[in-house]
Amino acid sequence: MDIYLIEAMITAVIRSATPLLLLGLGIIISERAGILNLGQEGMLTCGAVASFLTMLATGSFPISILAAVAAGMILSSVFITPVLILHTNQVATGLALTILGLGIAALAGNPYAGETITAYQVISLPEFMSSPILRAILEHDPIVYLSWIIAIGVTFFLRSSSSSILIACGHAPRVATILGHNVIKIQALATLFGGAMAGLAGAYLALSFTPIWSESIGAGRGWIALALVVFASRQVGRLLLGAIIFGSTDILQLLLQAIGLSMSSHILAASPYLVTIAALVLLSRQNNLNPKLREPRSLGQPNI
Amino acid sequence: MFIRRRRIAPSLAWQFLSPPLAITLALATGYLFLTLQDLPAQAILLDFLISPLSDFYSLVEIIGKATPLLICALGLSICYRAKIWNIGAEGQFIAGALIGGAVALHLDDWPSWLSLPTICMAGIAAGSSWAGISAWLKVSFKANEVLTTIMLNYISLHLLAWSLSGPLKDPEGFNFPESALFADSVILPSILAEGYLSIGALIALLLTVLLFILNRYSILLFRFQLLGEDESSARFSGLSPKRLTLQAMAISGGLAGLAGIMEIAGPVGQLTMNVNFGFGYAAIIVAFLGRLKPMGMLFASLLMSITYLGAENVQIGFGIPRATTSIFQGALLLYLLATDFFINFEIRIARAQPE
Repeated sequence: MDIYLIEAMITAVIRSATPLLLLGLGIIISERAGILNLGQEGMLTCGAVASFLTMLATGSFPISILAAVAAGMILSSVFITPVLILHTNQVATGLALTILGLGIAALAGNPYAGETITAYQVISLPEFMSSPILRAILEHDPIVYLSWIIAIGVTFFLRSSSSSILIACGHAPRVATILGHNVIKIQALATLFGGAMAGLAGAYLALSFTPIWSESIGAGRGWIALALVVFASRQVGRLLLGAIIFGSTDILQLLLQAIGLSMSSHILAASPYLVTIAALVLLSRQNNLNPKLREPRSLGQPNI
Repeated sequence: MFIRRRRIAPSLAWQFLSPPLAITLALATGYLFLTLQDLPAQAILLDFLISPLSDFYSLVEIIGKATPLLICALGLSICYRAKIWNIGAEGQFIAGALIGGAVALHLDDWPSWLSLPTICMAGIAAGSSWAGISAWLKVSFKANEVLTTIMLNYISLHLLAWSLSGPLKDPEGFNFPESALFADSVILPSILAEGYLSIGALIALLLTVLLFILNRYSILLFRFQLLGEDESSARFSGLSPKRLTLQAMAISGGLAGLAGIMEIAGPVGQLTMNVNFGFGYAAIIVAFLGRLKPMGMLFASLLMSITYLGAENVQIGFGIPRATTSIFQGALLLYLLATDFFINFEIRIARAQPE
């Protein structure tokens, strides 16, 4: 294999891993707090449409990113308000959020179907770092860098002592309440962070990954990210590994062409979902055996 | 100051009140949104809800569209009672349509009385097996069924696309991703003298009555509820949670598969990517809106069907995209879940506590 193919593959893997990483980081935080938000796909798509439309109107990348983050947070508050105040079923509420979010995105983006915007430019490395591999790893647009910074931030947060309050909310909200913590506030903040991350992932899809509007821009990434977090048993390191594995399935086609195999594009398109199931199967049982990796005890349970 | 209190017994009144209240709230939200966009909200909402009820052919179409929704929802209700979150009716519907359709394409020289039951059985078997994958992964590997069923939804859609671009593509179809039209002998008969309403509508009604009777007079379905309420009690009464899970998923998938094959061997008449997919997701709303009760789901499926036709009318009349249906549906489900709070809780005005 020549060096340019490897370069292209590394770039492609990082690009398709980024939205999953961002979504996963948000899901990790909200699930650690005991909130299961299945509305990821809806928030992701709304984030994408918000940034796409803002980009068309203003032409400014930072404003578009902020719009996506705001959209994600607004939608996550639509989820968390009934869940925390009216104790609605989290599975059903999340599902409703996905249906609502996909509808809003389709409605808002409808007049712009097929329109394109100029994608976010990559930040070029200085001249002396011209090795193709290094460039493939490091030369990306700012949202990719942002995802790395947030991943590091979340890792440090989960190691800090203040994360124990968050984790207490996920395992034993009553105990956390007795200890004087405002569980509702903490869970709400964790969910809002999840919404912000889903919005940011949407911004990445619309501004950089596929800068052409289609209402199916999410392509199930919200659901894959939810599975990925189970796979990662809510650990950032494992999430990163999972995102890279999933990113690789996206470039399967490239790889198969390189070794001279051809395969139906429809079957290839189904491969990330197959890999997701395989990953769930391989790790679900093991995670339940190791107490450190077990899922938060009151995940998805109403706190009455 | 208001306080909330858990009711001693769930409120029967609120069980009936919350669906109409949720519908009203969803309509009010729609009114607000339309008014904010300077659109004639009243006219649009009237067109959305009333126009589908205005003539005979629309009424037939409402029942036709409600049929697959109802059949899928009946199956889902069994899973949801057992608190098994099967989100995969969509994939099971497609699996039933795909396998049943493939069989139908090969049975065009059989007599109808033999071929129709065969293709329906093929659809049921396909939907059942497709759901069985998730059920098996859940009981033997503890893989979350929400995620596996959704992944299988995407996979089934890609499988359908692959079949229609290769093995099942119509050789004379100008390269469109469609199968050949089904022979008349594998199209379900109509129960109306005028217009087309497939016999599926009758089957859906029979299934609803069957489920109603089983719910009321037999312990068969209560076992699923017991599993959902308290798994250890179920185990203590000698029931096997694993077997119940497999059964619930198999029934649910089988019904979704039946809905799938009856849709394409009925109103659609061929396998195509243009079948109104999304029924499997809408059926989840039908199940919740109908309180998982057969008669409730019957009304809910008709209402959801009206929203589909209404959205089409509004698109033609006012140029409002069809995506509004899913906004309405999503908002409806959210409001319903929120108003369900009052079934188990009441809000009281707290009296001043004596010091």
